[in-house]
Order: sequence, then structure tokens, then C-alpha cells
Amino acid sequence: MQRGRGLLRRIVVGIVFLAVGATAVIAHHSFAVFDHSQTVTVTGTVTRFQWTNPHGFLEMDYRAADGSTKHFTIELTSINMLSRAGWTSRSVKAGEMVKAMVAPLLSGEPGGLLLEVTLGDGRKLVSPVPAANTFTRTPEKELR
Amino acid sequence: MKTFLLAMGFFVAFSTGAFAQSARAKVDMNAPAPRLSNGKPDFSGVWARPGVQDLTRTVKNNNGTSNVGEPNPLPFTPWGQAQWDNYNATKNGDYAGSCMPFGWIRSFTPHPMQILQNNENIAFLFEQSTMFQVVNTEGLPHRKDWPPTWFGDSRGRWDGDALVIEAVNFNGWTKLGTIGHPMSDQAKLTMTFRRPDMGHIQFKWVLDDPKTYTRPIGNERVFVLTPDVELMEYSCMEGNLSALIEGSITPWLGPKEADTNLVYDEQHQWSAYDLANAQKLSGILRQVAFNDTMPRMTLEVDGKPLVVILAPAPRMEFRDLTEDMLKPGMTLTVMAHRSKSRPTEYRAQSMTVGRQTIDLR
Repeated sequence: MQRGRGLLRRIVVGIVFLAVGATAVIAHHSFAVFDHSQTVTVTGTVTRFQWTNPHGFLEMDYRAADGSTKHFTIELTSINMLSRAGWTSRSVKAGEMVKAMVAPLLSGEPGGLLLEVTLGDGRKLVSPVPAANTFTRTPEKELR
Repeated sequence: MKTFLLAMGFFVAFSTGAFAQSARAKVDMNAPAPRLSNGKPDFSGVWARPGVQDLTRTVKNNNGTSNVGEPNPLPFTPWGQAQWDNYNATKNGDYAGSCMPFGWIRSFTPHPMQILQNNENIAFLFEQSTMFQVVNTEGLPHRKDWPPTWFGDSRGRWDGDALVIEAVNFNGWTKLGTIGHPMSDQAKLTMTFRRPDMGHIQFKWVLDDPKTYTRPIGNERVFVLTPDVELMEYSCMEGNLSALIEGSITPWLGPKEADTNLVYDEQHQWSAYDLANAQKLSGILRQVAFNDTMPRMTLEVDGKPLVVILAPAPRMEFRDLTEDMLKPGMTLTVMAHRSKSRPTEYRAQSMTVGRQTIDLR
């Protein structure tokens, strides 16, 4: 799990501080490491919801096609922007089953940028990603 | 008691603007700009900025904020060019990723900024990393013998209704935006603020830095009042400390004096190419080494393989050119300069992929 997060963070270090509230053009640039052309869905158990600046993180375990458990690291914007969008540190809980729609990392590493998450009770939380409309939503494709 | 009163006085003087904000009164954005008791414009308020991370970009946003960018390429000195070409936050770390102060221009991030002001001082409160700057506006001289700092030594004076803040004595370690445009300890930064009406600030900055640029550079930006926004706390270290310790973010461990260009050696610096002539090369991409220290590709033009030197990978990604966009077999166009010593080698100034043209210089 640490390894997965390390990889993602190594990739996103250059964009730290850019993420939140950016204008369309700028945000689009700053999120270049994420795939703007497709979305994937990750359904699994939250192992950690990290409520920190400059970015929040959602760590998840999911069941892969071969039956093994795999880890996926999801980046969020700053908690200031999340707060302004109505999120709190208790919006997602460790142990909860959720379905996350993410823009995956272009590098192919097991990580991505959260666009929206459906909680265990069916509520849907939209992630306040700047220039969210520049991310193309493709038909639901479950990561396996 | 005296201390208490003084503290209260300070609070009242600085809080007028802030109270109007939290009251969320309907604000007429076109009303005349408010004034201080000394008759000078009062810039107090929470302001949306255009969030420029690459000062060569011109943007006009839906919320009314905008930036007039500096033409690309920037007029680098050889030292400045080396700073620019060696900058690679992912590989070498970046001071902002290590939660150091951003410095004046870079601190104007997309996060909100509040200004509080009285007759003597103007305070800039940046939500980003909970940074602040307090600047005297009475035309005082720069401090003598103060140590160099991230934000430099800032003093303000009035030029009619314009507030002019001049900053000098920088440590020279800050960048002018997230993409990494450099500045040096020799820089003089002049920032001019005007508030033509209630809802807008016209902000102009000029950096005179002969060590880095052969002429002054700058931007003109428009900030827009956001009466419904209140500043929040923002701690950079709460998330980044563990990442720095575990190594997933490369720590910034002090400046590296880059007198030479470590990425592009003498053979590959701009001066090694025919800069008087930019050629348009269209061809088939055969090979690309995107993440090499010195990225390059092989482009087949009229059946002949040419080596084309590219920009550092983080800069290309920042400007929206990612590795997955470059697929061997595809057709590409570059504007490039030919090597003076190797006829089949070029250095790319820009690249066109599909309908998108990306500056590489």
C-alpha cells in the first residue's frame, strides 16, 4: 500500500499545489499525468481516507479477476476545496465499500484522480476537480 | 490595558473589509472603489486570481480573472537558460513540495488571497500554505542588513491611486510559477496594484533580473472580488511530511548553483543551433525517448531519419504534451532549429500533434 501511494506521489509531486480551484486552462495542464480520454471504475474497500493538504487520498483494495486483492491509490484535490464542496474528514470511512470513478494515471501505475464516488449507502459525492468537464466519462468499465 | 487597546485598534482598522465579506452583503462590483481614511484606495477583500503557473500563457477565465502572458521563449541569459533547462521537480525536488515559502509571484495560486489594509500597511494573506506578507505603504526605504529571504524585502509607495510595491534582497531560490521559471538574488520585483472599481484589481508585475533575463519580464493580471469566500487554514506539511520522509516526494535540500546546463550540454544548448532559421519539419515518428534526462525523438522526414531534441519531460507534461500522445508511426510537425555541427539533428521549439501546438522552449 505504501508502495502504491509512493509511486503515485512521485508522479504527482510536480502538480502538488496546483490542483485546487484552478481555472480551466491551468487545471487541465496540471492534471496532465491523468488520462483525460477515459474513466475507470474501482469497486472495493476503503483502507484509508487521508484528509490532508495539499491533497486528500483515498486508498482502496479491490478484488482482481484472478481472485487476488489489489491496491489502488486515488488522489483528491486539497481539503480546502473539498470542504467548500461539502466534504468532511468523515465523508468516507475506512472499511466502507465504495465505487469510485477515476481518471487513471497515464503511466499505468495503479492510481488515478477521483471524479466521483458512490458510498455504501448509495449517496454519490462529486469530487471538486477543476475543469472536470475536460475529463471524458466513458461507459462504466470495472477495474479487475 | 494599553496593549489591549492597541490590539483592538489594530483589529478594527483591519477588520472593516473582512466584516463586509462575512456579512455576505450584495456587492455592486461596479461601484467606486472604497477608500481609506487617508483617501487612498483600500484593496481589502478576498480576491480570485487567474492562477497563472506558466507566465508565458495568456488566459481569460469565465470568472473575469485574466493574465496577459510574456511572449515565449523568454529572454534568458545563459545562466537563466541553465536554471530553466535543469529544472525538474520530479527528479530533483522543488522547494514548494518541501513546503517552503512560495515567494511573491508563485504565491498567487488558485487558492484565495485576502488583502487587509490600513493607512500604514497592506497585508496579503494567502490561503495557500497559510502564508502572509505585510508591506508598509508609506514610502520607507528598504531595510539595511536584513538577510535575503524567499519573498525579499518589500516596500510600498503611492503613485496617485496606484500602490507600487518594490521587492529586493531575494534569496534567489524561488520560481515564478509551478512550471519553474527562474529568478535570481539579483532581481528587483515591482508590483503595481490599482482598484478601478469595487470588484476588480489590476495587477501588474515586472521583474528586472539581469542575471536571469536580458530584459525585464512581467504579466498584467485582473483579480476579481469574491465576497462570499472566506479564507481557510491550509497546512502543507500534514500531507507532505510523510511523503518526503518515505521518499515519494524528492526533498528540496537547498539551492544547486547551476552555472552550467547539466541537462543540455554545450552541443545541445540553444546556442548550438541555427536560431536565425526555424524550420517546419513534418514526418513520421519512429522513436521517442520521452523521459530521458535529455528527451529526444527520431522523426523520419522524406525518408531520412532526423534526431529532434525535446524539452524536459515535466515541462512537456505541464504544457499538455504527454508520452502517450506520441505513438511511433504517427505523423508529427515540429518547428525546429538545425544543429550547427550535426546536419541531421534539430532542437524543437514547438510541436504540433493533431490540432494542438505545444511550446517546448
